[in-house]
Amino acid sequence: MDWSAIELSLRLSTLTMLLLLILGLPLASWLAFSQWRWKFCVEAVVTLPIVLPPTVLGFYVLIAIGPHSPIGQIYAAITGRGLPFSFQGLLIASVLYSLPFAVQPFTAAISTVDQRLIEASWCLGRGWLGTFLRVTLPLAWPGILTGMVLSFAHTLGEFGVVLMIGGDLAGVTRTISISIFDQVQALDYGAAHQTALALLLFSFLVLAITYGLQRRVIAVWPPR
Amino acid sequence: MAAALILRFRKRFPKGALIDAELQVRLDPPSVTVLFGPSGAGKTTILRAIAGLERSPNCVIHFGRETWADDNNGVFVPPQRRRIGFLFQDYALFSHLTVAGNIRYGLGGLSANEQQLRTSELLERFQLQDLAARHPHQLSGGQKQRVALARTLAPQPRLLLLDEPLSALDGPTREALRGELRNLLSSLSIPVLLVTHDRMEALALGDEIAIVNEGRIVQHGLIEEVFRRPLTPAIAKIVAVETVQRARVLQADEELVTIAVGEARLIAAARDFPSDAKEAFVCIRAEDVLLLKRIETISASARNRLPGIVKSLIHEGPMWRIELDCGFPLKALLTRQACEELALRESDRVLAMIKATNVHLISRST
Repeated sequence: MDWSAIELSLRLSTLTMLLLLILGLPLASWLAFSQWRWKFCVEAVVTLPIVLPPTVLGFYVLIAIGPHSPIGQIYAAITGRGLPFSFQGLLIASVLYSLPFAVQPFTAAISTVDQRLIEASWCLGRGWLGTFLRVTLPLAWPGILTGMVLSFAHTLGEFGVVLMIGGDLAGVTRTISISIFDQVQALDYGAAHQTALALLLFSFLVLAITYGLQRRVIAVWPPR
Repeated sequence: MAAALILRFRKRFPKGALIDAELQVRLDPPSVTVLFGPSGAGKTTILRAIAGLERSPNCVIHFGRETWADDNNGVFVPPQRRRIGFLFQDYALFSHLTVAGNIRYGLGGLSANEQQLRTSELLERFQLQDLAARHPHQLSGGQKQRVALARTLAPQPRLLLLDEPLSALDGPTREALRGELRNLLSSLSIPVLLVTHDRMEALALGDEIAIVNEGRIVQHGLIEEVFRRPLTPAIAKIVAVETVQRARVLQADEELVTIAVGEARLIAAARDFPSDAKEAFVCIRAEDVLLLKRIETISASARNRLPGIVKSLIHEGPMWRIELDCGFPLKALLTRQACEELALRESDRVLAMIKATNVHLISRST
């Protein structure tokens, strides 16, 4: 089994999940409470990665972080390296690719919290952040957990975007799904089967434990 | 000028409802002001505006010397810094916190020790010690109400806003807690604004009353005064004056006004009734109508003695509501005992007695 690919995939998924927690919660709160009339545009953009082919997303991310782009140039000036075909570049693409899988459940969970509880908290002197941490988060945690698990599992299984952004560099960008692809290409079916089964079982276990803990399935796409 | 809460709030809601309210409430000595009116009149919105939960570009709120909202000067004090207590209609308890956790929630500014002390003080005062570790879903309606009150009072608010404090309770609990709440409110020495659409609740809890109708405050005064002397027929309907009839003015002097109602004549105390008015609405509360069966037992103090016929008797808890025909439809309210003594039956002939001071006139020219 390709242990370095497994380690890399787990590292990428964990970091993506944590970044999405940090970026996704403010975005989801805004989506849940904002009255802005153009909010639907933001919702559409957040959801795009679900419908776009990974190659399209990967292509534009590649251009956006490439050596000729402002982002790529700033990154190169600071670190002396390029983003494409690096772990960092892969992380940026993964965060974008899994964005809806975190933000949709977060938003659904946050918007189910009774607005009056939030107002009660304000009247009891707690500010916006205090209210979020003490009322919104504890009441919305099942949906937030769902979002974290889904973004983790989705990153673990991503293939097309990794291929576009990361290439296939052992220990740097060769994730578990790329490794399986390589093994099949080399007609090493035994190894491919081993890795594929391990990924299948692991993904199933993570989801089963999460849903089991919640004892109810929180839909990824709840009706609004 | 004595310290007062002054509110001017105007807001049009997307569905077309317009709130355009002006209210001034004396803060010292503290009293209980009831916002009373039909559902959907805008009572809760006015309360929320005072709390800072409802904003509008046309809103001015002064609390004593403080300005809480004044959009001309860009002033808006958020709810967190108004130091008010807001009791929500369904109590809005935090379901993930225990009773003690709910009460302690608003004590963020105190040290851990002081929080502990204040929380146990409130648990004791509201007899919640045994429930301190419970969660809201394990409580009865009355217990939830006590927790919500304790939580609201914990940070020692300067103004208490109660939105239908008893409406989430079932009948018997509501009646029991009405008295408790009255005692609590009078022991607090905090000004209170209370929203209700229940007449009994308003009478039991309020000192003053502000009638809210279609987004406006249409009458504000002492509760007895407003219930007996509504300014318009619409207000008479809101405060449920049982008899409201059109009347013609026959004769008016400085003290008394004689009117014709249907086929009957009534004498009313003139008060502020304009002497040149020709048409009026007459309002008579059912509890102010005294019924007699025999002519010889006339009480001298009642100016109006109207012979009439009992049309129907309706049983209403401890009271009987009696509909009479005295030349115009008149309603009376009698205790069961009084009703039995008179041995009233349908189509009995009776004499209805009404004091002139209890006949309220609304001029129709205004």
